[in-house]
Amino acid sequence: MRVGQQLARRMHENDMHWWDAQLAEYQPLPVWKDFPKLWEAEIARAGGNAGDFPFWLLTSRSMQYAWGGNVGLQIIHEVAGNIAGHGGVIINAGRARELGIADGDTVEIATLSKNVHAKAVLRQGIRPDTLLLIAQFDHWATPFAKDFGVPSLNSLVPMSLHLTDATGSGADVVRVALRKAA
Amino acid sequence: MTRWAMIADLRRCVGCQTCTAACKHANATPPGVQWRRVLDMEVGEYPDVKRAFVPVGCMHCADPPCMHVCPSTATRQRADGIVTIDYDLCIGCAYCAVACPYQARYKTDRAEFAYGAAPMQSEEARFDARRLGVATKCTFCVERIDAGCAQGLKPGIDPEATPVCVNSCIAQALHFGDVEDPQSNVSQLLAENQSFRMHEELGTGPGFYYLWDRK
Repeated sequence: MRVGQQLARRMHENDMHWWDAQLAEYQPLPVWKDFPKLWEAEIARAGGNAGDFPFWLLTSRSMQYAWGGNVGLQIIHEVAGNIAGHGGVIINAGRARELGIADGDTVEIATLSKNVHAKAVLRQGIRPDTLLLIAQFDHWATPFAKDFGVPSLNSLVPMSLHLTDATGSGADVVRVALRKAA
Repeated sequence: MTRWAMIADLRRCVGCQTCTAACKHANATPPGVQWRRVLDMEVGEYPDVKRAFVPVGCMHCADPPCMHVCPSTATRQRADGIVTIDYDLCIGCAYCAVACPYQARYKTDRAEFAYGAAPMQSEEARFDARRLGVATKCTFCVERIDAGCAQGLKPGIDPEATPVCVNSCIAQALHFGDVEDPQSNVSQLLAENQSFRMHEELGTGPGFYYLWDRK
């Protein structure tokens, strides 16, 4: 397998050999695991139908809020607003159109047991089967941030040992349903 | 002659908003007023889509529409190309805000602060009542340029004489300098790269260039 060879050559060309042990165990991507199956089984276990929850809800860090220590600062809230997704859930524009969802509409994001509401932010640069909620605004309950009105993935993640790995952690991903709020 | 101009390298801007925040700090602008703004744009449709972050603000046009419509001569143009607003002459008609094709002008009628009616200590200290009810916009940090030049410093090279948005840029996407000087940093960048100016077809002659690829 040639993966990592180019990196090794560039390092060795520059007389850098202190990374050789790490180069030996270099892998471009972790071993694939069937995450969809894990989730489908979890939904079935809870009495649901995986087909009713077709979206993968992801989260990401916000460049402006970073680790969130600045979440109480109005200036950060203001400038972060210039970057798409800080005011709602990012949805693929084409998929949203199929669902009758327009930019700015209030949508419901739901699992079997919980649901939250968010403003729809329509973008092209996201897969049609994926939703994105930036950061964790609803658990930053500081006096300023609690009024943002933007939910987070954390509110929807089910507490399940079946979705928990050996470290006690889990992937930041949730299978959800999406619909325009009434 | 000198013609001050700014350059935004679209290959380097990551949309971090540091320039916007730095401008707000340096110029003490109220909530919602962003003299230096960065647009988050998408080009194309999924799956063939690209994202671009585009810094915008007053373009300090060679032929500024805002100046032509100003009924009180508050908006003027300096010999070095910087478009200025005299708050004492401005009557707040906002014709300029309508005429500007770059949506670069703001008008704040009431005092507004970050956390409601009461200003923070820093806001109180820097509050300028002359800015209420008049047009405001990016000044290219003209006070810094003038003070720096008076000390023999070079805008765009010496940070003390350079607009704060340029100084703050974490990606070195923003540059500032004299485009009339063929040896300047900005002239070199324009000579080496393909560039465009926003709404060139309107004939405003913006003093703000965008780089997008090597020549």
